[in-house]
Amino acid sequence: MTNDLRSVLIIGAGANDVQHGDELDAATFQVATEFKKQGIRTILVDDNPFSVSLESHDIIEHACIAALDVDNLLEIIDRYNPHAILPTLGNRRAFELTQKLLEKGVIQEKDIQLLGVPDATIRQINNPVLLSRTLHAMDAPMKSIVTVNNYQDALQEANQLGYPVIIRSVLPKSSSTRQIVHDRSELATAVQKCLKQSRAEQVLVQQSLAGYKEIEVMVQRDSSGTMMMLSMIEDMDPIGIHAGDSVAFNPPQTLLDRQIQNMRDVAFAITRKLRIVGVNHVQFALNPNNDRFYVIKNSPYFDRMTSFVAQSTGYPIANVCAELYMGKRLRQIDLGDDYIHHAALVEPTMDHIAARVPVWGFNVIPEANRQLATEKKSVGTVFGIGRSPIEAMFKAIESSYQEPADFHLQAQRKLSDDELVMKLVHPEAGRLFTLIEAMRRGYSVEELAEMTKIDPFYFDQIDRMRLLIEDVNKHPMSEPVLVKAKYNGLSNKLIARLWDTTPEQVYQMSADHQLMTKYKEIEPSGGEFTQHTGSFYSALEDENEATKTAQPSAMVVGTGGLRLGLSNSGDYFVAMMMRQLHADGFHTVVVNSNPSSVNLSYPVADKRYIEPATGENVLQILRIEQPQYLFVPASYTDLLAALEKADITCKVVVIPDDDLPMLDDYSNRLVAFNYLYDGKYAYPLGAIANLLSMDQLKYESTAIRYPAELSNNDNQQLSEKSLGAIMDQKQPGLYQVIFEEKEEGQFQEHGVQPMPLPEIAFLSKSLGLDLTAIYTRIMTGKAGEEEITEFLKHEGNSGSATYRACFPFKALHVKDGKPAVNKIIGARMQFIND
Amino acid sequence: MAARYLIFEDGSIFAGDGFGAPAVTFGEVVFNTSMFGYQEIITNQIYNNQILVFTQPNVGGTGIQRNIYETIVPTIKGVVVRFLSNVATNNVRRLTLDQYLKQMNIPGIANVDTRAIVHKLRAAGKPLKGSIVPVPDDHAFDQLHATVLTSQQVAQVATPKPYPNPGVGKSVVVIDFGLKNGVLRQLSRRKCNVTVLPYSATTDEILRLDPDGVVLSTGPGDPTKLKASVLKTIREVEEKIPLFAIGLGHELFAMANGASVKRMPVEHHGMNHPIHEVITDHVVYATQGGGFQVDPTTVDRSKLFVTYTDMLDNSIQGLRHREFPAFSVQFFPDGAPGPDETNGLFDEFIDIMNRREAQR
Repeated sequence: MTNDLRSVLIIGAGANDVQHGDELDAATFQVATEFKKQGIRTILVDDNPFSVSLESHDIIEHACIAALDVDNLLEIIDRYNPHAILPTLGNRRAFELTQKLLEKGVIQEKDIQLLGVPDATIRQINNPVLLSRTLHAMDAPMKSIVTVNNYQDALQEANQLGYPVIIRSVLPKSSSTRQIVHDRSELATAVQKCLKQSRAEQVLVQQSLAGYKEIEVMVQRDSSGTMMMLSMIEDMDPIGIHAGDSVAFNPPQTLLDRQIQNMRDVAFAITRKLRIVGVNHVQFALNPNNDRFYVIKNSPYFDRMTSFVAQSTGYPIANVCAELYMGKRLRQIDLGDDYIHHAALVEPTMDHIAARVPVWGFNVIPEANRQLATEKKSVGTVFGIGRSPIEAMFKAIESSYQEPADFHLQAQRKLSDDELVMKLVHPEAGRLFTLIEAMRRGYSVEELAEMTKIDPFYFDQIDRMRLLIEDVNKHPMSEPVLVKAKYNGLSNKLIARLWDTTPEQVYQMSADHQLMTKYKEIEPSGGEFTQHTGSFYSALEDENEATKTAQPSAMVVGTGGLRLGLSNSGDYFVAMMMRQLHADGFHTVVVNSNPSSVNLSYPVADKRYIEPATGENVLQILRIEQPQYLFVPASYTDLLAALEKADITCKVVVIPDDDLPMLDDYSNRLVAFNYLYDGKYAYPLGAIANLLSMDQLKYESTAIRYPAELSNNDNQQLSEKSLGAIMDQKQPGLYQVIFEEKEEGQFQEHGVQPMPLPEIAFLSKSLGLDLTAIYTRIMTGKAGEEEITEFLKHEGNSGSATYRACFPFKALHVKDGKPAVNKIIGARMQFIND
Repeated sequence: MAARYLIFEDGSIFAGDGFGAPAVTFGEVVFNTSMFGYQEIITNQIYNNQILVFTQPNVGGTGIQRNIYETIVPTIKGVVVRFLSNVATNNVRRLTLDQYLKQMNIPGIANVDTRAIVHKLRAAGKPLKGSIVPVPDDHAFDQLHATVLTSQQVAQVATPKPYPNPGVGKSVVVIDFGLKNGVLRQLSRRKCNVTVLPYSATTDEILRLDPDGVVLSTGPGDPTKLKASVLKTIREVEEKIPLFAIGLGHELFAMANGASVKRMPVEHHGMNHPIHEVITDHVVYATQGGGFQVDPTTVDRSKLFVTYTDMLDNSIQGLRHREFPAFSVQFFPDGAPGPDETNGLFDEFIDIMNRREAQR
């Protein structure tokens, strides 16, 4: 191990956007936890108000809330003198920032180590031309790429390569700069657009691999050169649809061993060549007709795929990587008593199947084009785990949609044949249902495979899903059909809809026939060894592996895939709550299906159930776990209704995730007075107000500041007014009272609401107070008046802070998108000096 | 799919749905944790006398391909899967796994709790006999108990007659104990002129072909059940000709040089164990399969040295003779299915043969 590694600067990921959710926060949290164990200090720079890591002062020595730019990094380096910089937890931007730091010379001057990737690799990852030169030199299979700086040259290259071609910006200013060009007529616009996006005013012309299979390989390497494959993921949709928008399977379902081994060899060779330590995510395009494949992308950093692989295999990637960054070799890593000796060196093998499906934001941004292409459009992701591809898909669908699958299938039935064909050829979000409908209408597998370039295997699966649904539909209350349906992962909710009954009745029928759900452990050796990850999924089979967790325990239902509006403040709140429950001696159990979620992290959850958070599943798990407390997001209304009807003994606490800020749709300034209320006393937390937009000269609902700028007089008057309103609340909690400033000094009260989760996250960071922790202690009856008073005394004096929300308009190509609280995909915060 | 049952000699019954041939067979039940390459696995002759449980739940997703058989007439006794996919993707003749097993008269059973079976096999700590039957009645169990599995497995699967696999390079004799085609593929990729001889080949019969090198192939079952003459032949050949032994061949090579083999309490079949390459101190991955291992306490270290070990159970995975150009590996360096990282051993074998020739 490197002895001089005493402190590490982690460059954070910034606001969530279409490209990333909270998988980077989750990885940062886990890596820093390992660092802490080894006595290494972590310095984290980030400006994401929903970051859990930024508030985990017990593991992160210096959490710096600052914009991610070179000046701030230089200042922080100067202040804390880190021994090393870790750029693999902050997306591509962290690589770009690290390169800028290299250019400034500070890394060399201060002799700062780069962890995970050498400087040469950073430059190559930042510059596709350099990277492709390296890959060519090592004979890695690549499609040819040419750099041009004008339309004429682009045209000439495109003619030579043959259409379709891909046009990309060199050194892009933002990430969405890939254009697929089908013929000459589309070329000019694409070149112009990408030139404009390029900092080097250059574009790449590249032959399109549209229609090929997209395969993603996750490789891990240590400093001595030992390499292993952690997983290979197959995207159901072909190249042409962004991997993040495709249904993806771990392990791959339609690949031959020789294809897998060839890609593995190339992924190893690249990882070795780039001298990567830690994870490397290599993407390939595979031509299924002749086994030829091409490297299309290489990302030696944590991303959505890393978290999906970790959660679906049970291999603790972040923990292992942290040790690799410290200079340990894979063979020196001890994963503890729950794993076998040398478990870190065992390539994960799965005896279950994980299907990942995208989560869309089109319901709140209906004006966005739903057509899928090479740019990512989904805002989040969920996954389902089962013992067959069908079961995994049914569960993933259940997690990603409010309504059961049948609802979406009904909608597809209304399509005319022409419309259906259009949707098959130009796929849209939610295409799985279109495919099912096409099979129902009798299209042959060959026709569909030709139209969609999806492997025939998936049509076999899709057709089996369709036939199952039909079978259930045709045989109401039939026991054999119920057995079959449950064995294949159909939910009670879906069966109830098809039988025109209630999920409770279906459950009763299952219970009458002793169809009891079992849970299997997600364990990375396929059953060969006795190992425990604490992650489980349901299966209607013989053996059950889940038993009641040690007491006292608290169960938490996660807020699911990232949704617009909440962004990942839901995950933030749940994780902070679980951390507090943990600290208070509770064993924490979480039900969640978002692989990126920070609350699935090993240090946060003792036990994970990867299941859709439906009444059926939650009640089932409650029967096993018998926790003292159950925390449920308020937006899960069906679940709450099911809990209401059921006879449960634990105390249910509702997480206020459905209340969007009331600071919306007003052009006047709004001020919110925030309080912590323990049922007896209201403790003031200060006021926040929305900000005046510079360009529109009106108040923005999605930009706020703390503290609100108020005259002493106004402050006092409004405080008094709001206090009364808070005292009328029945339940303890975090509340706010909203006032609208009609005219200067003239305020109108708009009532009380629970503090929205995004604002809890912001205010916690502004005040330097873990509001979620004290909320959790109040809800579990642990915090008395004295403790609360003491807690509030610890308020940090950090000055004023601002919060600005970000929206996915650009990524979704929505012109003049109107910011609104329900469209938030992420946010930035900053401290300001008044 | 009709109902079928996987029954065990300890009386346990797993109900599932049948596929493949409706035959009733008996065999030791073992499991394989590989996630890929079911066709290569099913057609590997090491599974002679065995019923194989795939821990990977979905089997059949790539149909049957014409160019990845490990043998033409597989003798595996049964295939146990959680979920069967019925897909034919072969571009010439469409064949599903189900149809293929029917043609080969091999029964299969799907929709059983394979993870529970794995736990059961591990808990048993010894090989368990099982059978795939249409009705799990007393008669079925009586038959299972009465069945004695043959110990003459190599004789069942090895070629009775010599045959050539011509090439323009080094002349190599492959002794067939239940050959895996992957070995031939690797040799033909290196242009070798191969003659496959029956496992009963004598030293004379081998030397008469004047080979540059000899390969002892993989194969099924217990190496101690083979005639002692096999070991004698190995001893005589290793002195004169470069020798490369794989799997069962490795066990025989060790025995010919004084070591003993022992049966593992639970067989290991998979491709994810880290294997330590002693000379380079590297970690490699390779496909492993089989129920026997060389007993490290019996290896004469003045004669043999250990080249590879399994880092999980510390078992010997490779040996090399100190005096003669002879070496062996327990794992399958030809992959098929599995990692290619140890393919290089075939190059090493060619190098040894070349050096030998240069010395002549």
